[in-house]
Amino acid sequence: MTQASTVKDVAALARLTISEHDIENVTAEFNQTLALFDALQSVDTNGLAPMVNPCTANQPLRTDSVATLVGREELMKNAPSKAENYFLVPRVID
Amino acid sequence: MPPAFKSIATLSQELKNGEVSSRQLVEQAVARIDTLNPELNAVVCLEADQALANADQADAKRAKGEHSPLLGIPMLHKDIFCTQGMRTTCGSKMLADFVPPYDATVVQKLKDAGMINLGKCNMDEFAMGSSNETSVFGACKNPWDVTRVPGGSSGGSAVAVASGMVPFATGTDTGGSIRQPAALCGITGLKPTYGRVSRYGMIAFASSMDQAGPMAHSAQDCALVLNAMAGHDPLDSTCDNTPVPNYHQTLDHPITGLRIGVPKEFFSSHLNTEVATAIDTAVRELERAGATVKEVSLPSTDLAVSTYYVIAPAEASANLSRYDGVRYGYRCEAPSDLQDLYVRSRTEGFGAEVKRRILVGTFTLSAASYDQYFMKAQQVRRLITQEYDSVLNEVDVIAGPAAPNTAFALNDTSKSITDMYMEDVFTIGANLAGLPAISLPAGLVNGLPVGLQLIGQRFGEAQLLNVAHQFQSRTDWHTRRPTLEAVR
Amino acid sequence: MHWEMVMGLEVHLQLATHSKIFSSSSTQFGAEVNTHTNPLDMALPGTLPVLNHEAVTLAIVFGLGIGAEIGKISRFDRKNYFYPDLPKGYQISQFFEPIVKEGIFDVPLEDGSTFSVRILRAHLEEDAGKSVHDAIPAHTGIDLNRAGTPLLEVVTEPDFRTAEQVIAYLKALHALVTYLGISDGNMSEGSMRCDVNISLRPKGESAYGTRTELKNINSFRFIERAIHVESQRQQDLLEAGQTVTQETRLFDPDRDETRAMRSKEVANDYRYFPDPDLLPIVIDDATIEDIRASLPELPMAKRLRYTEALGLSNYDANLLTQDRATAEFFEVVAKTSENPKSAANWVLGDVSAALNKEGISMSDAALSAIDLATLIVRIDDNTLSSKMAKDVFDALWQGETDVDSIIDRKGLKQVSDSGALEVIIDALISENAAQVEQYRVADEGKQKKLIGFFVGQAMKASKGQANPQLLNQLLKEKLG
Repeated sequence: MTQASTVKDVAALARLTISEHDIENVTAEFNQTLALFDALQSVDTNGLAPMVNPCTANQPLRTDSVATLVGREELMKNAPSKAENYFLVPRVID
Repeated sequence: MPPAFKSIATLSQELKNGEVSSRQLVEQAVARIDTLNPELNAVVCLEADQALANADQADAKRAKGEHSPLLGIPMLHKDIFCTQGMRTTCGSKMLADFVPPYDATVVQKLKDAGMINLGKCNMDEFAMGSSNETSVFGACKNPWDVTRVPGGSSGGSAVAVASGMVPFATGTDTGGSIRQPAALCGITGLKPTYGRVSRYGMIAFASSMDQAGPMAHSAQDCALVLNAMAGHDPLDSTCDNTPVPNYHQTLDHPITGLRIGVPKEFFSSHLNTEVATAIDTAVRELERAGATVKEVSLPSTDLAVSTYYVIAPAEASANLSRYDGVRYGYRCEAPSDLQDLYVRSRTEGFGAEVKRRILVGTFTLSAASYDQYFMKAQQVRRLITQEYDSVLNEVDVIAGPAAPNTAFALNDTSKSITDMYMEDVFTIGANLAGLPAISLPAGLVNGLPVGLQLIGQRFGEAQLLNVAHQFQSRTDWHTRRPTLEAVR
Repeated sequence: MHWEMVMGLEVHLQLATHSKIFSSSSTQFGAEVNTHTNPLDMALPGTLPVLNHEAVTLAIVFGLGIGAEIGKISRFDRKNYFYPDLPKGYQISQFFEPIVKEGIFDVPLEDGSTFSVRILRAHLEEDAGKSVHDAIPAHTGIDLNRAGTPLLEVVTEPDFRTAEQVIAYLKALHALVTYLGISDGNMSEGSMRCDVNISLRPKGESAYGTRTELKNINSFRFIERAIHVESQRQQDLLEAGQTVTQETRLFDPDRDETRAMRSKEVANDYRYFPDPDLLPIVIDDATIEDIRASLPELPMAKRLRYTEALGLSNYDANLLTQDRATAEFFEVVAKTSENPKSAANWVLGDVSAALNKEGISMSDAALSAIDLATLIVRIDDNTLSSKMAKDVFDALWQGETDVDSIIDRKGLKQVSDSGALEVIIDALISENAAQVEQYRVADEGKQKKLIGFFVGQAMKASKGQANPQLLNQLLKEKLG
């Protein structure tokens, strides 16, 4: 059984927050979903290679040539905060 | 047949004969959307002026003698496809104001084929849902019964076609998101083989399963559109370069000797008995058409749900990290610092189901649970794929229901989260294994459509469409239309 | 107590491709903010990565260059973390199956010995963008020009015990990658960045102490200093009975100290998993052999050849092979002049001094190797004295070409005609009878001094053009 505190930690990792009002409910749903996964644990998966993608092809390779598909102005048009062609975030201190 | 419900094939012939213009078709579509959409809520963005201008261009091309089958046919895109200059929301507050500077490959290809896009269709937020109720635009309603869901996540697309707004809409299918709403709304929807259609410009949910496909009235219409949608794309590494056959050309092939396998696990306790009867009748019809039917087994059918709900949220948790309020999308008011910007933008911008899946996906990928959940699920995915492959060595096509039930009620609070996940039990196998699958109308139960699902071999779309077309040549379920009495 | 430093290195090399690793945006340094971008670099919804062929080739070149095993099947994984210059919220890297596996890299030391470093792996990944903290008040600006530049991260085992070893390794690595042409190795532009994992343990102990990671130090000098400062900090902590915290630290050269990075304070769980947008990179033997056949001669092989076939010292061979442009320049000079030792002296002496003075590198110099070789030939055939040669070299460095025409124009030809010199000497002898007399009675030591006097006078009379060896010889005969 996953505790509310663990769910909160996971949320923090995903940059989400869960209000005190919701945490009980969210934790219950979380555990309900994990319970659905229990069925997997009893499957014998010895020798089965993990399947990442149904594609059986190899990675195609692109020729190393430069092309600009869309200009800066268009690319940055949706930016919620920008100045002097930078995207802006609150000052970060390293 | 009222004009609104005509097939692409019919409209194309009428355009060719000069009986109707593309402008008229677009005007009719816009008028019908204006009438029906306030109740059905299938369309979330309508760009009528642009569509009319494009229709005029199509008419001009026709006048000059161009006769490609899709030229001038109106359509709608699921709001998951990026459309240059046209708002693309993915059903989320997060992207409520997002206007992409580029077209998805599918959008470009259908544009190139001459189709006229009118706008965008409602959908579950980030394609996460089976009822279309997680959309920021609110629920979309089933035209057969407006108190019921249309299915999801491509609910708006299914409703737009089923209600006769447009003859065709694009959908995407990660765990059944084309087939289940197609089934619940009485239309034909095809999820192609993973890699058959480019994913470029299609907003990602679960990258290893997402696949775009056509939703229309008939297999014939799906074939016409798939001809234009399918094919290699250098912008998508997972897009296959297997040559694209002409899907329309093989529709009339007889299906004598076709081997159909019916998995016994699909007729389990999950399946509504009346739906089971309808599916059984449909399979018998295929038998009468010359196919041989035998029972097969996909022992891991139930495991597929668990497997899918580990893998899809895990991939989604990473795919949705880009929504951080920095370059586009929702940004919270007056963030105090970087973490505040991230946490509030994401918490306020995503809906409950999306956050639920991000949480689960983040958890199953974390160092402490990776082997137990994610890795295990990837191994079981291999097992499930092997089961499908082995059955498809014995038979040409797997047949069964697309959904366990007909359309269920809107706001059904008796359904738990995991009950809702079980809606996908018959569809997600094809996504995990990357196989093509189609849902086609196969009956009505209490006035609600039932979908027959056919799952084919890798890159076997032509065969699926052929079988579906043969079925539709012998039955009229795909010509049944909702009366829409409650709407008008 | 005596402490032993244990260090392992992670070096990020920017690969010299034209376009980014997963998009067709340019990788050129110094472009206007956010102009080297495409929808993918901005992580716009729906965009997908497609791998740059050249990045794969360069990674294989590196692997073969250090004699490492090439991963026949490698994969890309997602490393998940939030940072504003990481647009997707994950970095595409190779965690589970890198393209370059274990190898041994022999680092030359000045005394001619080598120090073997075990390379654990080298993997392809994408660079992040840049966070600019001083452009906009109260904000950090994000420039994504660098986002998606291909990097090869070279990870070593914890094999380093001294800062000198670290620097020697980095210099040799720099030489290798510039030789191979896989990176420009420009540290000030961030083409080569170094993270040092450092811990202390009591000497003789085999278990490792707790390590800290020093991030992104961008010059050899700072790396040396950072190691010194950080090891001292750790030693002070340990000797005071305190413990070292495992963390990422930044070296601040102005304050000459290291400090914990705030953005890395929270322990992260990177949730690595295979990237479903990318398929396995499969490299066949034929590809590997083709690339192997195209490799240039590597520094280690060159050093060996310089010492054994050309007779140079280990020290000179080391210096000459530190960058490819210098080695190649040297080789042309040595071959054309047929005098490798003199070629080495010129390249490491006057040429190197001139380069340092102007602050440029060999590849930027206008000097032609053929001209320098001709200069050496003219010294060897006695046309030029070494003093005259310096004049000619200066002219060459100033951009003049053709040694023989410089000699003509400057009238620098050394007089090696004994008849002409005898005339001068005879005149000197008759004008300086007293000195001649002194010479004839002097002891050997005194005679040497007097010869010096006559040579000086003869040089003056010949306007400095007399061949000094010949002059000496003739004087001795005449004064005899």
